[in-house]
Amino acid sequence: MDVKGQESLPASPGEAWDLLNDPAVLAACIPGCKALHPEGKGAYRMELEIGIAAVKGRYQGHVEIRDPLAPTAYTLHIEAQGAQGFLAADIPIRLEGRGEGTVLTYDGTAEVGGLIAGVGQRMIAGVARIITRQFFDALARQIAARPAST
Amino acid sequence: MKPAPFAYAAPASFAEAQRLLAEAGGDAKVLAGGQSLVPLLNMRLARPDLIVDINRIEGAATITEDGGRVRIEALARHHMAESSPLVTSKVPLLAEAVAQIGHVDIRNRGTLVGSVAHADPVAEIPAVMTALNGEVEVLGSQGSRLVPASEFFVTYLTTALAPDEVATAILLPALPPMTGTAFVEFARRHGDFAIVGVACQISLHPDGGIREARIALAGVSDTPFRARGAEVELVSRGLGAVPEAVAAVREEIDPESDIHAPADYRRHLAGVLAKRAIHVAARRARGEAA
Repeated sequence: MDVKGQESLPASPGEAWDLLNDPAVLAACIPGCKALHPEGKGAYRMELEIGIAAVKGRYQGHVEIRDPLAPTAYTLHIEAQGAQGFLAADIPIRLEGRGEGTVLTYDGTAEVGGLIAGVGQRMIAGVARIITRQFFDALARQIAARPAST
Repeated sequence: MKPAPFAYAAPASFAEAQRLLAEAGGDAKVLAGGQSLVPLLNMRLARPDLIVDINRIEGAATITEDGGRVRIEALARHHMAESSPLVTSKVPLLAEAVAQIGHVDIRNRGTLVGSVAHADPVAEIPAVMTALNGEVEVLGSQGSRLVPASEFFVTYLTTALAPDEVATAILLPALPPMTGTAFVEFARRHGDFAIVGVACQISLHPDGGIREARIALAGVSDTPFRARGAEVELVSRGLGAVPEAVAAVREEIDPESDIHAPADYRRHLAGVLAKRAIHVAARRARGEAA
């Protein structure tokens, strides 16, 4: 499954980079994130509860920021496993300054397997899109909330 | 396969069902026909703490005429609608759609209101509700309310129903004069979920122009999709504008790819089925055999 898109963030690439590497920001933005524990540099262990309506499950996950080239590029590596299935994704991300803000481009692939993939196949791509949207909406709120917190 | 443990309640009234849902605080599911819920439970994709089985509620399976609308209660099974003279004459779009749901065994048990509350965007009844902008009668802590279909379907399997609300009926407008309907869908095997489905209702002026067009698609979005661009083409330009309406359908949808069909195929199929549905509905509106 392709995971690709583009987002405009109202922050400079440097600020966006810092936010995307801040465990507190990630924990607040990742939909369904119940816990995020640092596991060495740029790597986190997390507990997730994701799904839609009554079809939701708990997943143990691992997120890693690979090949960082601050503040312009990195690859987000995600693995998650639960009783209902697994998810593995490698998503190269680029940050480009444009005017006052930053354009974030992501273009990677995700693999979903197990029970959820067999039964929920029709909805996985759409649900992935919704979860990605929720992440960036939450990130935009974090960016908007920033001046108040400094 | 066995479900994860859950508590079970079989209330004797909707008021009691609603109270049980409110007390459960969001982790309960209503069981009607169970044709979607029970597989999800058995595969443990859904693990509610409480199942509220409404099948013991007396007198909640009727299909009646209510003003200019047909009211279908929560325990009316698909087969009842399929074989109801009232539905066939007043909401023929629904009768045609219901006949295409799954298999006989599923239609004998599954309910129309349950299909609407489950909100699978590829299912037939939600598409009909969207095309006709039917209403869902909902009972909550504050009493009963009606939610139009345009506000009811939120996203995949998600509706405007609050956790403490139970859907008690659906209401669909009766067929206006000089109106024809068609429900067409394509599935790779008989009884499978459709890849794409189209619900269409066309109302004519006495001179043959189109007074109103209603088109909704299943399987192209996270909710049933109302093809308003295509409707505008038909109403403003008449039946000669079917190619433009088909182009509008393909333009305004944004389907997803999955193992069953890539997005481009769904987009193409949506146009093919929309064209077929518009022609059949228009012929029926003119009183010709489809």
